[in-house]
Amino acid sequence: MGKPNDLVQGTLDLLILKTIAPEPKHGWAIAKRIQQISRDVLQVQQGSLYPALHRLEQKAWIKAKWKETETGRQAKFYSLTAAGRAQLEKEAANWSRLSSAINLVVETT
Amino acid sequence: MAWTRRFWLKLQSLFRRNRNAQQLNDEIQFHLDQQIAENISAGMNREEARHAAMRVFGNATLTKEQARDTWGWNQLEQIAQDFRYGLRSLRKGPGFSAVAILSLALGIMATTAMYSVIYGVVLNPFPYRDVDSLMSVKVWSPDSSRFRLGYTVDQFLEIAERNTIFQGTIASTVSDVVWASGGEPKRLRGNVCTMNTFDVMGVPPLIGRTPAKADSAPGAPAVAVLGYKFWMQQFGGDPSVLGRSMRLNDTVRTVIGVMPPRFMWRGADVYVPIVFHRGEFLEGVHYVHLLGRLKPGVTEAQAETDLRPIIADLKQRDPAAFPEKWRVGLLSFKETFPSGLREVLWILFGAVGMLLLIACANVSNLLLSRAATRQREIALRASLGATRGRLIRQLLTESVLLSTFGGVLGAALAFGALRVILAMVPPDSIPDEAKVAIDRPVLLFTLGISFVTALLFGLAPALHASRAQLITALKESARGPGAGFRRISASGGLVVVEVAMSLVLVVGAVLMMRTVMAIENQSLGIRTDRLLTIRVPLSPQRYPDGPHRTTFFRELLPRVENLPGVASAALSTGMHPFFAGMEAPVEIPGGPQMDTRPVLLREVSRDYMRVFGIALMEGRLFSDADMAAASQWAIVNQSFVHRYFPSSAPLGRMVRIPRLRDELHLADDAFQIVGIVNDVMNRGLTREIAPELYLPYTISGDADFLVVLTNTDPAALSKTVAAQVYALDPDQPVTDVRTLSSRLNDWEYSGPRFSVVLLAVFAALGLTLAVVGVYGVVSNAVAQRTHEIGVRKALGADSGDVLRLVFRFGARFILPGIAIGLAASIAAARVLRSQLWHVSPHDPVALVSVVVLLLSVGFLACWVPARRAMRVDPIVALRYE
Repeated sequence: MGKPNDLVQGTLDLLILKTIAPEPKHGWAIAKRIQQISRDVLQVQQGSLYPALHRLEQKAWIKAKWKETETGRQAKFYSLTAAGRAQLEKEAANWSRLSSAINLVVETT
Repeated sequence: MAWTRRFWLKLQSLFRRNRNAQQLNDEIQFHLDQQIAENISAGMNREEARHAAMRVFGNATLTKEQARDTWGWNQLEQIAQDFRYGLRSLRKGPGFSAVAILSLALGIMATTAMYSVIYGVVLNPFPYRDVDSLMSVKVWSPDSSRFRLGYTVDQFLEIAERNTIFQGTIASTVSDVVWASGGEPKRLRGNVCTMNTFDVMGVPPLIGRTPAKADSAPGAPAVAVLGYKFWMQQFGGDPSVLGRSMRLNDTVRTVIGVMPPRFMWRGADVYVPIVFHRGEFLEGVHYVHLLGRLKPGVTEAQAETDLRPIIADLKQRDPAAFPEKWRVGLLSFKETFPSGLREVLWILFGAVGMLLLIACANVSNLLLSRAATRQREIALRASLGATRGRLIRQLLTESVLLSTFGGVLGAALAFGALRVILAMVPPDSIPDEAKVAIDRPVLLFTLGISFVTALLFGLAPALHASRAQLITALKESARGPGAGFRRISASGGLVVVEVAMSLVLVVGAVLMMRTVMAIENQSLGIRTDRLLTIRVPLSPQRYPDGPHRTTFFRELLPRVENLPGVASAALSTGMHPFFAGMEAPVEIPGGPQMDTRPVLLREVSRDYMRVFGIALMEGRLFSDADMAAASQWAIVNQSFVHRYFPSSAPLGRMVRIPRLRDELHLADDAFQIVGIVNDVMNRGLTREIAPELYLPYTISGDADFLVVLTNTDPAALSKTVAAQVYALDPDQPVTDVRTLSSRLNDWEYSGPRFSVVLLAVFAALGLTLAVVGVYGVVSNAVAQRTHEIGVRKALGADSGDVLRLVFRFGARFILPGIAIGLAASIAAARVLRSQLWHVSPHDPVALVSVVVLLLSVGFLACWVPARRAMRVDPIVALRYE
């Protein structure tokens, strides 16, 4: 199984879930969005997004639908399922706990 | 419902693979197009934009593959791919595949055939319901290894009625039943049994019914149930036999049922169910075997507590019936009716196990040497992204394919092998009920064995090959100096194991061969040629007592003696050299001390010693007058003299046999010794000669074996001799008409021959495989070191040097193999000890000859590649550089 470069697998999942939470997006838009929000800090190799998307789809956390884009092409749009929303909350909570713990360690030493 | 959705997605991805793959392509193409468009709008030209987009995207092919992986069916797809690939690579090396499959097939054939015998004879021989709860009641004395399972009818009834541990108790016998069917009377093997027999054994009839309650009512018509084999032989499997009347032992019985093929309780042709009563000897039955079905949860201790008072009462009523000190307990069904082959079968199974291991080592070796030629292929696959796990799986798939083909071929061959094995099984050594066939449990075993062997022989080469160093393998040609030495040491280890195991097998076979030779070459002390033996089991109804029986035989003997071609004839209660079963302790009045060990008793007619060629040493043989008067004379053998008269003259002394007073109701149990004869084998061929007493057969008339010394081929006279019996009594059957040498063959020689032939075949196969292993490794090494040999020759080495080089290399496997094998066979010989006779398990002759044999075939296997090495032309060898 492939590993996304520089990103822990679970983190990438969290980012994807978070990115499509407001509205359905296609793959390229997700990649762009992650890059934008992270102000180009998170250099995700764009290709590695797709195995992650398919894995999340198999887990039934996200679902996909082919729709027309504004330019008139067919693209695959991903959106959260109910299970995905629950998963997002869980992972977000986990993440903030972990990052605040790491912050604590980093700042006190 | 997340999981239903998940399941649905899985199914979709299975059945819409192509569409999904197309969609994945579209999805990624869309992504790239978006990125290219963005790049162009940022000012790049088309070409630059495309390259930049691909760069940020990364490896698109890998991405697609990883995405497909998440669909979850990739594993399955890869396995199918591995199988296709494996088949192709096996086809590419047909010679290799044929040798590997054949080796495995040989090993699997032998294992499958032996397992089917073990399964049928030892593991699952009986068709009765819950055999483990069927128990015999055993009474024994702590002083003796003998025990008793048979009881008089009265004792049986007492135990059956008073015990609380059995759900049901049945009596059974092995009885001669005479069937008068109009023509020649036939003696059938009958089982006179209790009415509840079939219910307790828990087997329904094949057709008809088994006895019901009404059949036990006083005055109910007598019934009979037929065994399957007898039904097929006599009635051709005709169902209209039901309701037919048969005159059995002078009682007319109605056939009510036929039992299924494997119901062979006491091996009966016909079951005669009767109601036993105290004090009555129906159908001539005095003693019966008692079998009970234990209630669930009854322990051994509870059983003993329950049975003890019953036996105590029986002993009080008849003190002679049980020994002074006695104990009572249970004996399981399988121990009551054991197979004499059990131990031999496990030993042979161990031998085929080793054979299979040798075959595995051989195939392992083949795979290793093939891995050398495939190193580049494997390295290439690794560099294209195959992980080590994937490579191992791929190589193991090939092994599984090999072992599957080997398994299928082996199972097919096993059908033939089993037929050969069964043809050699000694008569009467496996339970009548046993069904030995290659059926479902056996084939399942074969399947399991095939997979285990695939792992055994495939794992090491797979691990080894997948470890191949990428760069070196790709760069270097396989022929480089020193290449593959690690591999040679790996396969060398396997060859050492092969040599060692084949040595163990050959040692076992040679030890058994020496045992058979020792048994067959010993002097029996009697003649065995020109002897015809016939049993005349007189019907207990028409010949109820000694005088009747004696009268019959007194008329029969001269009729037989006067037949043309007959030199002499005699009667006895059992014939030499077999154990006749009659033993009793004796007392010598006025003798120095009591010796309570039993001596053999044999009741014989006048000419018995002459017929068998037993020499008289002192005194005289029996005379006509002795026979006529049923006189109290006895003849003893030399062992008897050694035990009871070490220093005094035995002739004229008295011998008392107290047991005869009870068993034969003799008024006088004292016999006077009139002669001493030569010692001859009298308890089979593998037990030492016991003290023996010969008595005149007229004291009881129990002797029913007729032994005829002929002037010609004894088998040719069997009809005429039997006709003399029919002439005297047309209703009297004869049985067991056969020559003494065929009896010897069946009862004494066939057992050891069975083990020796099978062990020898397994050892020969094992040795062949091991030699192939040595040859393979040495010839491989020679092929790889052609260059080195060429250099040596160019520098002045002669053929002798090259030969030594190759032999030294071969010795690196052969010598340690022999050393390990010797140590292992000394350990393994302990298992074989019970099968050996007059041969030590560490017999130096056997060990030395086997070592010489292995050295010769081992170096012969080196000789062929060595000659090839000697012919190496230095110019040719060097030109390749």
